[in-house]
Amino acid sequence: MSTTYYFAIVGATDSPLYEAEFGIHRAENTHLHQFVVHAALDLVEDALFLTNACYLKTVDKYNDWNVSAYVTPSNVRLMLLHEARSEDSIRSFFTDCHEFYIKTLMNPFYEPNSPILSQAFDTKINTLAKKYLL
Amino acid sequence: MSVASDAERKCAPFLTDQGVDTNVLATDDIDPWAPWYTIFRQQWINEMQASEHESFIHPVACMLVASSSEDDPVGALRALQSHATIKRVHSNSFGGHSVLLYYLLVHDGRDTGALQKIDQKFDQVRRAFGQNSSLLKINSNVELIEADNNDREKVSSVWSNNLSITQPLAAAAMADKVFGSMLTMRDVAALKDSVKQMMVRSVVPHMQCMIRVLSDQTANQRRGITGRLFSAGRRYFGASAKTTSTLVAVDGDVYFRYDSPEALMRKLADYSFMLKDFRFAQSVYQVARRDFQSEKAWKCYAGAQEMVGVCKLMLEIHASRAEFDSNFEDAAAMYFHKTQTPCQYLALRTIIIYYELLKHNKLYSFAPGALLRTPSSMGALYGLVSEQAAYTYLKFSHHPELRKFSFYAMIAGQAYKKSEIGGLAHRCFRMVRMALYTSMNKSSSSCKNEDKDGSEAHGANNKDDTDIQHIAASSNWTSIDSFINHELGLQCISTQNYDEALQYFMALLSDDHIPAKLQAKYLQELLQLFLESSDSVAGEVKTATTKPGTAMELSIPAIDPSMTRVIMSPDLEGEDGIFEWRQGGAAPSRIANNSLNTTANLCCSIGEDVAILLVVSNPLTVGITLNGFTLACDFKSVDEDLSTLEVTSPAFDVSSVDSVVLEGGQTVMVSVTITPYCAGDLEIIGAKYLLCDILPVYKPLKLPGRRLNDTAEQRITPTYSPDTRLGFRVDPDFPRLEVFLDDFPDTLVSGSMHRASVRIINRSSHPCYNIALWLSHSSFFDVRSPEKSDSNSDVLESGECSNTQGMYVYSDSVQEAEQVQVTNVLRECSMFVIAGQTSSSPVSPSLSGSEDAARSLHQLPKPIESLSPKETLIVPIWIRGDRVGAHTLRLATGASMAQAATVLSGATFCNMRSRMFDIDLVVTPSLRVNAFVRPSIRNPHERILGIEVENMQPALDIELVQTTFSSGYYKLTPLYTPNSFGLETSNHQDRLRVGPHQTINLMYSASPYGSAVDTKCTASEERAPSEMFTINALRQYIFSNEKPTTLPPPIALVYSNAVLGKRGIDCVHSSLQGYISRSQASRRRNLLRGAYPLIPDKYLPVLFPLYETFGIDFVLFWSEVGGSCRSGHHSISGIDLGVPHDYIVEALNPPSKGIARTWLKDTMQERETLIQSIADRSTMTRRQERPLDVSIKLINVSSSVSSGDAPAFYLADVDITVYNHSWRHAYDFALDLISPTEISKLVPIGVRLDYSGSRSAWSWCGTTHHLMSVAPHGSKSVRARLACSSAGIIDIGLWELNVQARQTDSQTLSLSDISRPTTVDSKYTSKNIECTLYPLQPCFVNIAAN
Repeated sequence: MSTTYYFAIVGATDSPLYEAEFGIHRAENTHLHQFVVHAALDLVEDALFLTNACYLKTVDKYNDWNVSAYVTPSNVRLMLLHEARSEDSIRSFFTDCHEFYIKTLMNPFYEPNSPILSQAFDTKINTLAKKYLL
Repeated sequence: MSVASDAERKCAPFLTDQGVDTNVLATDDIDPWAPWYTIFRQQWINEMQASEHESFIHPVACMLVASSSEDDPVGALRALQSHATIKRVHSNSFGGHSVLLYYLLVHDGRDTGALQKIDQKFDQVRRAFGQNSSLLKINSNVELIEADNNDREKVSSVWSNNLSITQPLAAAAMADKVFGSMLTMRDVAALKDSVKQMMVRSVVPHMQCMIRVLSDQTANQRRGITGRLFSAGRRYFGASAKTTSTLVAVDGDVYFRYDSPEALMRKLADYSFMLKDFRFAQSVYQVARRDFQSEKAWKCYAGAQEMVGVCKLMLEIHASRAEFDSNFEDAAAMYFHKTQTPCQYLALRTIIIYYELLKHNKLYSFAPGALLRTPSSMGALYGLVSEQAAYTYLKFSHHPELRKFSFYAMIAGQAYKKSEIGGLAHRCFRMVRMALYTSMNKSSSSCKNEDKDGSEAHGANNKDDTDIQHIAASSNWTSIDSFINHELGLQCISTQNYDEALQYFMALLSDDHIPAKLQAKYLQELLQLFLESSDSVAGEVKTATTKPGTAMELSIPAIDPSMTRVIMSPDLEGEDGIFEWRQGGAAPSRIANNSLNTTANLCCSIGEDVAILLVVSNPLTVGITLNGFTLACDFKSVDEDLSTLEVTSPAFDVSSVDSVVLEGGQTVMVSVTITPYCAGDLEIIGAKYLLCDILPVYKPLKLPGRRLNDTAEQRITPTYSPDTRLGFRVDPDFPRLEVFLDDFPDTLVSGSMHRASVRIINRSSHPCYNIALWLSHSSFFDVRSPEKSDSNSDVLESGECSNTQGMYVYSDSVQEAEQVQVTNVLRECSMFVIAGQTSSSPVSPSLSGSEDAARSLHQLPKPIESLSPKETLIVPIWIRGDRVGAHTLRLATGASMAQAATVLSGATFCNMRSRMFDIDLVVTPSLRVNAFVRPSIRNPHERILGIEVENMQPALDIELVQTTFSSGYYKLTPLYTPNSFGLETSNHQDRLRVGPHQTINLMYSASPYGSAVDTKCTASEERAPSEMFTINALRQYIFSNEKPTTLPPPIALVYSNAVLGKRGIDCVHSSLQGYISRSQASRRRNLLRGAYPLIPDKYLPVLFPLYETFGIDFVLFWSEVGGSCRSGHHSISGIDLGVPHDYIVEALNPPSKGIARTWLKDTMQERETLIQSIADRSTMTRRQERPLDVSIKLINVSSSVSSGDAPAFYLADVDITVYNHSWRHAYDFALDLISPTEISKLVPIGVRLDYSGSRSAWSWCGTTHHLMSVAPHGSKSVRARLACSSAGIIDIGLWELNVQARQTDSQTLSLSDISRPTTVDSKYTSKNIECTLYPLQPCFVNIAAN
């Protein structure tokens, strides 16, 4: 598939804790991905009040890119920039990512809202992306 | 774009240094944020063109003007009327002959004479053209105008003001032009009246009339189902009508003729819209829209859609989105996609009008969506629109959406950049930066306040500087940051604003998440940029780059200030620093945190090299080089006067490192040397270097100090003390010694001695008075008296002949046994005074003995007084491989900072500048010496001591030279001469040689030394002073409040020497004795520490003596046979002959009086634990002991003849001697002699050897049960007789001894006297108090016939 995915975990302080790109992506677009996801954070705040669910579906779009969001109870936002719309797989992707994030959070050496540098986490997220998205 | 150029340097006012000003956001209009948009909009309106699908820019009325000076104004007007232009307007395809003609007669007030004629002429005109005509009187009288200059300006401003609003660009171009120079204010009023009259009287009525007419014409179409049916019928059945009404324009769009019902309807709607009947207009537009749609006239449809939306917005402010937004969206989409190219203009018009309406109604939430329908292909226009969209995000009612703003500002910036409007692009990017920064770092913005205050004082020019300070800050969105920084940097380069560009590029390089390719590119660009900028400024201000202050701060490479180490005199070995020399012989330890509250933690002497080690790491993935790496230092002289002189002579020198190459991600340690020349405080404030030999970089090194936690405020907000790690003090009084370890070996054969020396050179300008030496393993070292030396040759010489000379003093008169009175104090001897004086009287009366003993500054026999500058001191040290294995020995020298020659006490030795060395030493095995003990059958006083010597060396013969035993009680005599081995050749008869892997045994008999036995001392204090001392001291230690203070009394040691070689070694009166006793002390300390961990070190000397009375220490001297004349000695200390001396448990019994009352449960618990541990220890370690020994000696044998010739049996008399080994107890014992026939009854099976054969052939006769008592160290003899049936050798060692210790007075007292229950009862008594002994070995006697 020739679609682009950009996944970011944004901490409660609005800085990204973890970033990953799946699928085909070009280097010159990376900053645009970040920009779009970053801008979509504004809309996440609005969308939060419209639903009880963690998964907010597609909150924003820019040209061909959709941004889906998932908000954890601690206001950590999982943001996924994608082209194809497939709500169900994205939902399960988010749910599993959330689980891994919680496991990371339980690490006593991990300071909440600090960047996640764990290699294991990265591998797991990539596996999830292969499973659900690509 | 002159307006733009002013504004583009400034950011929008809502972005301040403190963040986003929400008040400004809420109150301000968008327009001033981007003034060029307003200009664009006005220009756009001015240049709007008419389109055939609507009637907006088409003429409604046409004004024909004639002058009153005309003779025939009617004729002139008619001529105009028939003019081709007017005709064309009138018969316009859209206007459709409905253009109103309006006639105006203008009269110049200067022609005062023609006033009557004018009325006349106007009447003519009115008569000719009817209602639609009017008369305008204006003045052009020069005198009138010049009379009032003020009036003239007023008139002119009417036009210029108007122009500046409607046509700002044109107005700017004609700024100095005077408008209406011939008019007065009255004329202006007249003009206004005239226009108003025209509108009210003619145009509006005309339009109303048109509306009425058109309404009638199109009525059927607008009325319900019939109209629709009619129109449908006409469409399907009246083909001719269709062809006439629809036209296809040149560009391919479908449109309608002016007289077609659809066009008429549109016109009706437009007119009613113009007359503000929006509701009616909307309904008509909606009908028309439907018709246009069915005709597929998309342009017209889009126009109608647009107007429907406009009407809705004009009517209902609070309309929901669906009602108008869809209209506009549809309209824009139609214009863009269903029509041909020119309609992009119309689409844009739709968007702009919609946006303006939204702004007017403050419905900002729709605006971004509307604006962003603009296609991105529109270049600068797209940028303009995106910028507006970005602003509208900030005007959202609930909260400003900063992130959206920054996104669209970025889009706008990119669009501007593409269309090469650099200034605007830069502005946009900068706004993005600031918005990102403020939204990310709201908390840190408060600290920027000070900067802002400072910059305001310097005027507007400094505004940029404060912006630049923000550059270092970043959001955590790395690619966003790097993109923005890069764009900003590029824009700055293009405007030749190099300083700012540099800042941006440096911020770029600080980010380590950028891929390597980009990093390399950025670095390249930065260097290029620097070269360019330095070229450009070279002509003007050359000093800018050479001045050190202007060197840039760059985040690469990373230098971690907390990893920085300051090392004094880096060329010397060993660990340097101010160490705390503790009491009790513990290792001197570095003072961790400075408690002395000086500014600098570290000190160095003047002229001393100080190495600064910096850890430099490259965060980039590409390699960089640093050239000319050096440090910037801040020097504060102690002397105020001296600071003025600094200019002439620098206070310090800093070396620089030529080139440091750092690969990507590499970490390198850089060492820079500083040499101070003046006294003062030196602080390292930063590092300076040239990045890649081009870019001068200054990197400040700053560390927060300790986190303060003293006051409540400090606990709430983190405050830090000033850091002292990066500074040091230059103190001329600071001792500076160079210490070298000369000739220290790596490997040693175990037991052998090696001479080494410590060379100390005083490099400071002051004499050093107090020098001390500390050794970790005192048993490895023998420190001799230091000697001053001026040349190094002596050292080498003495190093060469480092054999055993001087260590062992050979003497020919070594006595076999001599008794010497020696001190018995267990001293800690790991610390030596090399220079300085110790107090002559070691124990001042006030000081308790324990403290003095614990302090234990061991003074060498001849310490020097002081060490003058440049003098060399050599301390000879003998090293002995004491234990086999790899050891790390530590050696520390310390020089106190005291100036005068003070008497060394504990206090002066607290903090000294010290140098700590680690010496690795491998000790290989040479001899293994074991001792074993046997009881002597011959004499119960004696014990047989065997020494087993094994040569572990694979290829070395070792000669034993001498054995020396020292004991307080025993004298040891060799049991046989060495040549009884038969190992020796006749040449070396006297010597004992142990070949490789050979083992020999040396046997000695230990018997009480004459004097010790002879003195019939009854008191146990005299018999065993050290043991009694321990018992008393320990008892006092445990049970009393006052800890014991007295030191053990001296002991008389018996030295028993056995010279095996040619010459004996004097180890009694030579300095060897000192070493042996020191190593004995260290060994014993270790032993005691392990055995009694609960007793603190400082109490050991007052509790335990150095030698125990009944222990035996053994020293074996040997030398190697062969080329190397190495020699050494082995020693075994504390050989235990198996006599009962578990006397320590006695100390556990509480004394009769003086038990300290313990009120606290903890104290009691503590005491009990201590007692328990000592008791456990003594029961655990002691093996089974025999307090008494029995020896049997045959006296005589007599044969008894019963009746016949042959003797019936033999009678033998034996002496049975019972000896008491104990020095402590007197024993009552019952000796039972057992005949072999009774043996199975009495002796437990398995105790003795097999008694078969001749056993039954003999028997004791007479009394076999003896009750006696024996004093300590005493003996009792019994004469017994046995009868034997036949001659021969028999074993008569058959007895049973029941022993009971006689209670001493003190013990019985203590047992009975305890009336109240204490935690300690007298359960801790010697376990030998009651026991039964059996013979250990057979005792053969020869019963022979005479």
